Amino acid sequence: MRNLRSACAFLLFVAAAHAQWLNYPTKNAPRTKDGKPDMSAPAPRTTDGKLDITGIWMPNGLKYLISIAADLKPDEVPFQPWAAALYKERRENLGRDDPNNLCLPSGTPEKEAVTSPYKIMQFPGETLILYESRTIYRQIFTDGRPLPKDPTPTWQGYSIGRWEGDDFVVETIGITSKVWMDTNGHPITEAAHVTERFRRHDYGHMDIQITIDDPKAYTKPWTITESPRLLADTELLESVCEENNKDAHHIVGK
Amino acid sequence: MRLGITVLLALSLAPVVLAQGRKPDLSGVWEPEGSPSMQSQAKALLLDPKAAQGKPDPDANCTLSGVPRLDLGPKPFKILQSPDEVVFLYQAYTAFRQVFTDGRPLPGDLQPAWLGYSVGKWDGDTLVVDTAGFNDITWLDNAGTPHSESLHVTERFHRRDAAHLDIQITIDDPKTFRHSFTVTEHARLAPSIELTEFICLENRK
Repeated sequence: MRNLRSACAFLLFVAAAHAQWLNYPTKNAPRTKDGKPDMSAPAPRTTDGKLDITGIWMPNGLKYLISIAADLKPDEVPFQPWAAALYKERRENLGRDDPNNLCLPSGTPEKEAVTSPYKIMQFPGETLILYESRTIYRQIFTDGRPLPKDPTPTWQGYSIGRWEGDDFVVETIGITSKVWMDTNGHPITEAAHVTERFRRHDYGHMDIQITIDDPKAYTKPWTITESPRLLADTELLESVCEENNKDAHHIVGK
Repeated sequence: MRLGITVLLALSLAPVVLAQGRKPDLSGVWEPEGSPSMQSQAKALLLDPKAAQGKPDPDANCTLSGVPRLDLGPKPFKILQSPDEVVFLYQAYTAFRQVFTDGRPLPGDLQPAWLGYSVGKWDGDTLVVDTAGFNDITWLDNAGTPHSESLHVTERFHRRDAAHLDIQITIDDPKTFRHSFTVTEHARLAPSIELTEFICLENRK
């Protein structure tokens, strides 16, 4: 419910923001005869022939934001016993301790499910994701460096990426166990290794296959697929959670 | 450490790297070399000498600290450059700022924002960034210099050599200051560091 509320609040915010800033046409967007962006045109490629995943993307629905295990039956989620107990406590507490309530960031991989736009940009040596939610960025290094041996745990972790055919494959480790993977409160730990496979099917559509492998919290890995759609002729707006956080006082648990 | 200094010395003598299209490439991690003082100029130009009083520091609430304050450090920032856009990644707040260099204009009537709205153009070897559409909550610098929503900031980024970036910042806010004024900040390339995640709320004391 809270997710739906914040999604509605977000939409109102967008409607109120200045049209001139938002309605700027996207450069090089393929167009249909009526001038609209052609979302089923072929996916663009960079000069080296690789797929270009640049653009502003919007998650398709709230499913995985509410539960990253939405595809599994409740008794199929491969919890380790302590993780099952923690999850139960978080559910019973009605999400009282969700870091988002305090304007702490969403971490990896929840960030790809938050229903506000994010922008992917490709630079030599790194791919960048700018998230409208919290005005926060994530760097994915593509310069061939290995994952660090013992990274300091952070909300977003440490990410490296490479191309495997048409898949942009991102590996992330070093995610702090403070992160909730969804608003239901599926835990994640510093032992997690998250693999995201970005594949752009056409101009307007992409799949992100996300595999969560966290042997400390779960007995086996599982995979979900996010299917964001491209937003053309628009731009990210600023979003500062701390500016107007009225949630925290009301979210008191059971 | 000694290696770092050697690299910096070598870079100081190296010419500025050119990006595609032969524009100077500002890409890299930059460390501000101490904050320039706005105080002496700003104070003398205030229309209302009491304007600075009682404005709480937005940093204390972990909201974004605004422009140009984010440029002033002390935390490093990173510049990434594409033909149509220059992106600033600030270690402070893990916040980003987009500067559009694709020729779009700055609209006249913008919803007030913490970092404003930025467009840039090249004036020879200097990237000139125009930013407007600010709220009046942020401070211009760490000393609490105030401003109104009429603030217009012009930043001129010039990479003096491979290792040094000069940032000339002009503050124009006719509702706060008698006339515009300019300060210059210097930043040094930090070739051996990467930005680390900084979540203000986690560190709020």
